Amino acid sequence: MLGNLGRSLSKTMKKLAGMTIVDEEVVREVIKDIQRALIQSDVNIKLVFNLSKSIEERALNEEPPKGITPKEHIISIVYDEMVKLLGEKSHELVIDDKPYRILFLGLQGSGKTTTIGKLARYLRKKGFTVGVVCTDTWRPAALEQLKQYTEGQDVSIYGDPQNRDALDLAEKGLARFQKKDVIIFDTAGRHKEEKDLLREMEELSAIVEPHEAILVIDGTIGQQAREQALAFRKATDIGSIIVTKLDGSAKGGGALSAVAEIGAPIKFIGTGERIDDLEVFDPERFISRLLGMGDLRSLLEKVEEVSEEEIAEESLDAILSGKFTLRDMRVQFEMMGKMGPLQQVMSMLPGAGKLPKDASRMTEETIRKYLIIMDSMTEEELEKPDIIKHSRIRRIARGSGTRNEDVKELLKYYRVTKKAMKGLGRRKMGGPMGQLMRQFMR
Amino acid sequence: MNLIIWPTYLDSRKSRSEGRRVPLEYAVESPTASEILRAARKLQLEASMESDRAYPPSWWESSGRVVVEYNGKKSELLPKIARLVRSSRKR
Repeated sequence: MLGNLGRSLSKTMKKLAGMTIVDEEVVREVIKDIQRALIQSDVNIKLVFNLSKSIEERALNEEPPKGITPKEHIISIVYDEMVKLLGEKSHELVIDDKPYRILFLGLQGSGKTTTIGKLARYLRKKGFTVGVVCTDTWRPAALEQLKQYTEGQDVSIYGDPQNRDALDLAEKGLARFQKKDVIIFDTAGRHKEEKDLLREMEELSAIVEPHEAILVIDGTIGQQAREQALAFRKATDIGSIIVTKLDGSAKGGGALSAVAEIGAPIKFIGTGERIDDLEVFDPERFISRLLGMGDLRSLLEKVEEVSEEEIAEESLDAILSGKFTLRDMRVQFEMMGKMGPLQQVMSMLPGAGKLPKDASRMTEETIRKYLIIMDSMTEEELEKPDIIKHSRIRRIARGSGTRNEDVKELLKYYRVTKKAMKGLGRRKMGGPMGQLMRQFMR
Repeated sequence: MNLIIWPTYLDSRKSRSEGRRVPLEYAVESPTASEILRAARKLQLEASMESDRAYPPSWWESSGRVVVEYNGKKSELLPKIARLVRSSRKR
């Protein structure tokens, strides 16, 4: 999450947590670290100074409440002030009319179409029916792209590459999707300047009469996001914002704080390339994750979301009684895959960032490979993995397009996991990890 | 020009549709890449072996392959090599 910013901030917090005495000097040092981290991620200098000033003031003058050590007090002040920097409140997307019409805007390359795909999936998961109208008359491929992103998700798409009239397309799309809960309008992202963008919004608004206009801002532009958000905010009072590409750039912090500063509501953030990488933006959760305090709430929500789809009830009993088969392992892998990138999941656990970047990517790839290998096994082999010997290994490797060594590796991993699971069953699981595992297996 | 020679080309156990390139009378049973390498060198050709390569139609076994520097058609070269491999087996 936000690359370097998260890393340096959580390092600072760890440093602070490890100190024995907290005096003025320590406070100054912590503030300096935070300043450096924020400026590096392109947060406006003025904002950074305001932030550090109020941290300093509060840390030195406020008495820590009873029962809280000075150290914890400072941590909570830093947390408070950082949350303030991002606008404190979280803004949820409330669908209160039918069809709820959302107009998507954004400069060229801001990730509009991708974000629409993600949002459509998000809404589908919440149980709404979704129609997407593609009015991009400049880039015929946009329609194709939308279709790809929403493939297999029961999202209807309307578009016509032959029709060059965006307003006409909008009108027809609107008529067609009258029965949907939500209609999303994709617009042509051809503009290089805000002015044109806003004109398009006005024209389309006259026809669509949207309940909400969402501006997609590319997080990599840093504090320049301020100008865009400001113009947008002035032009409409039903506007909200999605900041994208927060995974790739160090400048995401700058973009977020700039948008928050002018009071524009950020509803979602895009945190990666995968279709699930869209999160409701909640400054409190966001900051706790950034500071390495973990975000168990998000994680548990995610786990719940996944296990609602597929509950492996028998698994738990089987596992606890020491009978853990390859089939159980496959269910677990599938769930992990659905929860999104491991890296993201890990960053929600307290003490995050422990996983080196490469290691987690490896793991993710490995999981995918293991799933493919298991697809090449027979039912019998999944139930009784011990029968898999040389010739079966060869057959499975050939069937799954992998090497013999890969299959052996998977079997070894299975045996290790089985052993660990046996141990888990006996001991009582505690702590967040235990909670997570229980959720996993429920 | 560099020509790639896969052992499959000369393998009497393979059918033509499986990748054999020479008539059965020239082919030998399961030739190895190093046999082919030796034969090519005997023809005074610049040749090298890549032993961890796998013939794509049978990607699961890495038979290795030989790269030969030869100016001419592969179909001319193959019988020459095949004959040499064959005679080397007889001894």
